[in-house]
Formats: sequence, structure tokens, C-alpha cells
Amino acid sequence: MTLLRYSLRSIAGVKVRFALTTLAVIVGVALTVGVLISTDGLRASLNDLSGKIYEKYDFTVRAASDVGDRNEGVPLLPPELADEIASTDGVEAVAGLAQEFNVVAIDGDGNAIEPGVGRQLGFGWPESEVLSTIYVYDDGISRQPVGPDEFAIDHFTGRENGFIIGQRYDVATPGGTFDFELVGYLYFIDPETRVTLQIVAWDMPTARQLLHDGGGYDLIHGKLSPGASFEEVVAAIGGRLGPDIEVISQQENINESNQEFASNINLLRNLLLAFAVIVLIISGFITYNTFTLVMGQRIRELGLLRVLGAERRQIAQVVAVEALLVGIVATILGLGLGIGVAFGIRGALDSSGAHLPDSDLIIGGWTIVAAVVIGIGVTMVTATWPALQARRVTPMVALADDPEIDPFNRRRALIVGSAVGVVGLILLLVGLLAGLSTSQIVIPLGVGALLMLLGVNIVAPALARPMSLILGWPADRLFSINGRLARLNAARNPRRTATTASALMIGLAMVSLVTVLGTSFKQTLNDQLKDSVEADWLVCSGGCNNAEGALS
Amino acid sequence: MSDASTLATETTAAARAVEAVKVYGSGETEVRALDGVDITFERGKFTAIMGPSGSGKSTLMHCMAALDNLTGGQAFIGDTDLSSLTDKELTMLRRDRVGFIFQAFNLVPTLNAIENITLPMDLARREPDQEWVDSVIATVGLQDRLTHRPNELSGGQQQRVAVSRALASQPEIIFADEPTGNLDSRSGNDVLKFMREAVDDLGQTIVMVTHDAKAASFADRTVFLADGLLQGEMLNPTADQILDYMKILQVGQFVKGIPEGATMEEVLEYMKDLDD
Ligand SMILES: Nc1ncnc2c1ncn2[C@@H]1O[C@H](COP(=O)(O)OP(=O)(O)O)[C@@H](O)[C@H]1O
Ligand SMILES: [Mg+2]
Repeated sequence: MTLLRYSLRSIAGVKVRFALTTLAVIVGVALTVGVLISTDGLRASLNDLSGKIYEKYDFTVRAASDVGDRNEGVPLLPPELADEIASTDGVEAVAGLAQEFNVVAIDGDGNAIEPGVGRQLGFGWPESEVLSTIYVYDDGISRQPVGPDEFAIDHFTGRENGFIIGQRYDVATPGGTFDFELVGYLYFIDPETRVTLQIVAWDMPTARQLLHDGGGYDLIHGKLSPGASFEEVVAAIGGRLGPDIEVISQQENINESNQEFASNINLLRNLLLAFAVIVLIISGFITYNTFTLVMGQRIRELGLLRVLGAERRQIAQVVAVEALLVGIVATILGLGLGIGVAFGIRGALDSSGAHLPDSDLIIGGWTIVAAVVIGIGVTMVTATWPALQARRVTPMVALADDPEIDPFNRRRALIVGSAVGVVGLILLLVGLLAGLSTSQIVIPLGVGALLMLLGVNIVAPALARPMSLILGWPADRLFSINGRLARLNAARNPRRTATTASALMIGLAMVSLVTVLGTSFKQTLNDQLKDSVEADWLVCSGGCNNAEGALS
Repeated sequence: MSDASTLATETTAAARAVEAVKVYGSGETEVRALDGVDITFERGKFTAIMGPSGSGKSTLMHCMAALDNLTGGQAFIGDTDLSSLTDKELTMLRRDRVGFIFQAFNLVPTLNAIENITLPMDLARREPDQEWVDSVIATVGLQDRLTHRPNELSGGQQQRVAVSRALASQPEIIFADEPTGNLDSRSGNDVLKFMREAVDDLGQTIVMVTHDAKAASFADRTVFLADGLLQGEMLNPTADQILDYMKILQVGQFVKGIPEGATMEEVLEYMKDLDD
């Protein structure tokens, strides 16, 4: 009990240092928790969306190769096939689907509208209302485009770019740039939901002409008659399908789509987690330095405990208990702050143009497990070495003039530290100059930064003495006796000076890192979204033909 | 050697050293702090150890109290040969059988007086004998200071806490290294009286290093150490007797210490050093 009290009071004795240490771990935990919560939420709302998208389609006919990463070259389905399926018993309605990416509307000033973080999609208005996922925006004047001279645009894009209903605009399509009359705004699935798509739509014959050069459909969605079974219908139309064409059920559609969301979200999540890991590594350095420093400052007290009969184990426990307390506090506060971070990430997503449906705050079991493992784990792991050092404290340490466990080896520190630092620097340069993609860059940058920090951490004590003497010279001049005392004091115990200095340095590095990350955060999110989420969301919502495979 | 230890087993020795040697460093920097010390500390007695600075007094304390290892010879607490114990057993011995008081830095600064006093028992996860602890505290007069932290106590009070701590767990023997060295003479006197009472009333065994002849006069027996060797001892000496004895020892040192072919000035300088 007294030992626990001793730990608590020792923490209280260096409150500020422990507060900063805990803060560092809190930030790491909060980032991780925030990423997990927000990606869980994202997953839930996307799954919710795919449920809504496929709600209407009881089955979908598609080219058998039209799966996986959905590259170009998937053959189109002939229009006659749609008619044949429509005439099959048990099929109530059928709608072919035609779409193409990189269809760009040109605004009133003659500028092609910017894709932003989204993708620009040309779309044929489905000919069956019960099977359509796009709708006329309810503003009183919008209507569905009919005939080769009319088009509609989604209301987000239209209003943002000043498209006025009733005026004529150019649209760049695979078949060339033509002008059409804008007859209405449209929305996809839900008027308030936007997944950074820009949709331009024509009626189906016009779209097929413009997008597929008069060819067939990307997909054919179907609706069953009341009472008809999916199996019977598949059996009935099976004979008419070629070997390269397959029929999938609503559930298969949803599963495939969810799976793709999941892999895209995992990609996003891993990228965000990489930031959290960097912060955690820095927190690790800070906790390590703090525990080493605090252990060093109290080494005489620990020696006294040994004189009074404390076992080595009990001394190590003192350090471990302090780490545990820091870890527990950091975990709890980090979890709380993480919810805030989750809202922040959500806000960043929204401001980058994705208006996803709101989802409930999901704090999954794994999120809590991760917070505990990280918050307590980081502190306990980084406190392990100081705790092992504490085990080596002998009673005689209490009586030594200058108590130290390990005599400091300056040469070794310089050599090992520089070597580690140089390797880190090389990795950093490789990461920066080799022209890797955002996700590839993380490893060399992360490991490089880690090694550089480690190197500086090792070298610092060896340089502290000359540095403090040189840097202290002005203080010496300016503040006479106080400056001189400070300077000599700094030089007297180089290891303590260096530990304090490198804690400051690492703190500073952390602040700059967070700033840099903060500014690059949106950009990265945008890239990431552009690379995957909406593209596949779109692919899975409409059809998958000819989508430039975002994941390829 | 085996004869000597068999013999000692039959006596009431609380602790003893046999041919104790302690060497610090090696080669040119080698220091023989103990050069073959044979000494027995009897149970229930208050022993003072005196000697010039650097004579090995502290080293002897540390090696007897299982804080440090001897280079050669043996140290016993009761019948236990310290050199035969593992690190863990030494820890247990410090915890359960030995008390230690330093000149300074005796208390854990973040724990209050009573927490410091019961710390050894807490470390041993042993319930303190409350009656005993109360009586120790009453004897030292610390009743109304128990919740004070060390930095809220005077030097004398801190040292009384340290003595209480050593007594509270009722060890077989207490080693005190210049316990009054940092105290003014009144506080020092209080502490010494208290240790004397512990021996007389409670039957405690205490071994104390001191520079001060007056402090040594509280002891039942005073032994003199110089150059890592036992020089002699006195039973129940007065302060004056001790001072006289020291002078004789110093002359011995003095004669030993004069370098050959020294000038008169160097001899005078050397004498001046001894006076300090
Ligand atoms: N840890 C140590 N390392 C090297 N020499 C030491 C150490 N401790 C003590 N000594 C030397 O051993 C001798 C005896 O020291 P000590 O026992 O402290 O003497 P005293 O307590 O009588 O003043 C002195 O010469 C001292 O310098
Ligand atoms: Mg001494």
C-alpha cells in the first residue's frame, strides 16, 4: 500500500512532467480511437447506403467478368437481352443501365467543371421507374430529360457551378462535346446524400448513343413479380444467357458492395492509423524519456527502499505502477477525446465533399480494446527498460555521491546514435525522393523518422555537455552568476540534461508533426477518397462497366 | 578459522566480522578500506566506532548490514554468514533482521513520518506491532508530527523518525553511521539519549559510528579504527578518556604519516591538518 502511495505521490511530485507525458499518450490513443470510430461509422453508413441502392433490384444480370476490380474491357450486354428477360415469367420489370466516367459538363463561362474529390459520371436515366436510383429533384421546375437535346445534372454540382435550368450547356462525352438544354436537377438515392459524384444524365437512348456509341447496357437490373422466386427466374432465363453472362441476387449484390466498401474503408483506415502510429511512437519516446528521467532523479530514494528491505521486484513495480497509472488515465481520457476526433474526421470528410448519411456513434468493442492495449501498452512497454534499470538499483546507490546505475559511455552513444540516425535519414530521403504513392510512403517515412528520433535520443546525452557549455555561454554573460550556475549544472549531469532536452525536442517534433499532418490531412483524405471510396461506391451503385479501376 | 566461528556461535554475538577485507578499485586506484577486521558486537549492547576520516568505519557498517559485499573474510548477523546468502536472501535479511540509520537522507521525502516509520514492515507486507510502534513513537516524542513530511520536520525530528523506523520493526541489530553528524548538539543529544534508552529499556543492539567523543560516551563500548584495522577499544569511557585515547592514536598516525626527509614546515603542516 505504501508503495502505491509512494508511486502516486511521486507522480504528484513531478505533475507537469507526468501531465505532458500522459497528454502525449492521450493524443495517440485519441487518434486511434477517433479513426476506428469514424471508419466504423463510415462503414455502417455505406452499408446502409448499399442496402438502399440494391433494395430495388431483386436480381442483376451482368457479364461474368464484371467482378473484382472492375477494369475496362468488360463486354456490354445486348439490348435485346433486356427485352427477353422482361418477357420471362416471374419478372415484373427490367432496366438496363448505361454509364461512363469522365463525362464533364462545361459551365456558363466555358470552363469544364472541376472534379474536386469526386468523379464525373455520365448516366442513362433508367427506363423503369421502379428500378431507378436517380430521381428528379423536387424544386418545382426540374424534370426528367427526354430526347437527344436534353440533360439533367445533380443538384449539388449544378448549384455549386451556377447551372441554370432552361439554359444550354456543353457536355464533354466519349463521343465528343455537344450542347444540350438543362431541363432539371436530379439526385441519387437520397436528396441530401452525396458521395462526391458529379452526375450528368440523359434519357437512355441518348446516353447509350453518347456513352456506348449506340451499344448495349453495362448491367441489367430486374424486379421479380410478387410470389416469384429468384431460383425459378434464373432457371427460366438461364438458357438465354451466354456462358459469359451471369445473374446475381440482391443479397449477392449487397455483399459484394459491402465487401468493396470494407476494403476501401480499411485502406482509408490504415492510412489514418499510420498517422496515429507515428504519434504513438513519439508518445512512446516521451514516456520512455520521462520514466528514465524520473527513475534517475529518484534513484537514491529507490536505493533507500532497497536499504529498508525492498526486493528488486518491488522497485521495478514502483516504476511499472506509475506507468500503469499513466496508461489508465491516458486510456480513459484518450477514449473520450477520441470521440471528438471521430467527429473531426467526419467533418473533414464532409468538407471534402462527401455528404454521407449520418450514422450513429459506433464505439465498437475493438475500439475499446485498442484504446486499452495502446494506452496501457505503450506506457508499459516504454517503461519496461526503466523498470529493468530500477531493478538494478542496489542499496549502495542510496549512499553513493553520484548515484548512477550504468556508467555513461560517450563514445558508444555517439557511434551507435549516429549510425541509427544516418540509417533513419537515408530512409527518410528514400521515402521523400523515390516518388512513392501515399500509402507506400508511410513505411520508409515512418521507420526513417523513428530511427532518426532514436538516433538523436541516443546521441543527445553525449552532446549535451559541449552543447550546454557553448549554448550556455550567452546566458553566462547575460545573467552572470545564475547563468553560469545553470550552464555548469546542465553540463554536470549530461544525461539528465539530454533527457530533458530531448523530451522537449520530441515534444516539439510532435507539435510540428501534428501541424503538418493536420494540413496534409484533408489533401490525403481527398486523394484517398478519389482513389477509391466514391469510385467504387459509384461502381457498385450503378454498374461496374468501364470504371477506371480505382484500386488497380 | 572454523574454530573461531564455532566458538562465536556459542556466544551471544548479534553480529561479527571475521578477517573482514574490503578493497575498492584495482591496480593503481586500489584502496584497502578494511584490511582484516575482527570484531564482535554483543547482543543488547550499544557500541560506538570511532576513527579518523577514511579509516573504513562506513565501509564496515555497510558490509555488516548487508548493504555491500566484503572482498574477503566473513560478516555474520547472528549465526548467518552474509557471504552465503543470495541477493534475495540478503534483501530479506535487511528487511527482517537489520536496521540502518544514515547521517543524512534517511527518509523517503514523499512519505510522511508514520509512513516512513512503518515502511520496512510495509515492504515486508507485515502488520506492524501497533503497541510497540506507539510506544517507540511516544518515547521519541513524535506523536504530533506523524503526518508531517520530512521537509516539514527539523533535522533532529527527521533523525528521530529514522531511529523510530529502525526500532519499529524490532531488528536484531541497528547500524547507525554518524546519526548525529548533521545535528546541532541539543538535537544530537536527544537522539543519543533515545538510542541509549532503546538499548537499556528495550534491549536493542546498536552499533554507531561517530566522530564525536561525547556521542561515543553514550555507548557501552567504543572501538577505534584506523587504516582499515582495529586499533583498540574502551569500555564505558567518558568523553575525556576517549579524547585522550584518540590523541595517542593520532600520535601513532602522526609518526606513521611523516614522510621521510620532511622539512620542519611540512611536519607543522601535517600537524595542522590533524587538528582540523
Ligand atoms: N565506493 C568507493 N569506491 C572507492 N573507494 C571508496 C569507496 N567508498 C569508500 N572508499 C574509500 O575507502 C576508504 C574508507 O572509506 P569509509 O569507509 O567511507 O571511511 P570512513 O567512513 O571511516 O570515513 C576511504 O579511503 C575511501 O576513500
Ligand atoms: Mg563514513
